[in-house]
Amino acid sequence: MVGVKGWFRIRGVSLQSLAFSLQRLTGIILLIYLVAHLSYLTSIRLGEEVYTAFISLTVRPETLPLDSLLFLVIFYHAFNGLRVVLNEFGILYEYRRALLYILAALAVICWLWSTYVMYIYVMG
Amino acid sequence: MAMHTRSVLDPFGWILQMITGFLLLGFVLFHLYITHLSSHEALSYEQVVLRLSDPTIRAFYWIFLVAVAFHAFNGLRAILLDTDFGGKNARAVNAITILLFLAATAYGGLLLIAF
Repeated sequence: MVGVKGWFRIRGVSLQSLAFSLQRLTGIILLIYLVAHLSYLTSIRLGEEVYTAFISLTVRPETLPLDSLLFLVIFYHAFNGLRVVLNEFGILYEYRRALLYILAALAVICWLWSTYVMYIYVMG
Repeated sequence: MAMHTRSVLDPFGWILQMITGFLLLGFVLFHLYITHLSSHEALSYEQVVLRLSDPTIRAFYWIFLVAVAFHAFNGLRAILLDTDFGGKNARAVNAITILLFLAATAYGGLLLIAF
């Protein structure tokens, strides 16, 4: 497939291009997660026992790093997507480079906060 | 590789991708908050059933489901159309991703009408 290799080329690539590649990579991860999530939710229809067994398997201290990484992917994709929409309408266009850093920082802040909150809940 | 999704999608697809993306920013944050960040018991069976029994929450999840399924499979369409294979088989890519969008919406809808 042409093009996909280019997503992983970092040397000589502009920050905007890197953000574009990351947007696609995180988008693919989230698509796979969406399919898994919808399949997983079938357990709710199978009753409390099955659902609780799934939850106790997936919501525990050992899986917290995976949940945390998922949140990072979500926040990056969401805030970088917002940047793309703002750019599209010319909003803050003269600050587009600063916006890239600010929204990436916002994604990291949201990620750290959500990981902290999940850690508190999971560790009880 | 096109450096902008706009350049591989039709205008209608690109505009809807932006609209659903903008909506999802709020929807996903709300969903994450009520399921993972609001309370220790938010994922218990009783709490999930209680939430989904509320018509307002259920209506929210219907809109969320359609928006997220469209955004995901329209995004996949853009990525596939940006490849040599996708460019040569655009009609097949369009048909398959539309079918996947409909299947995901129908499957998620079956979960929602169970409550």
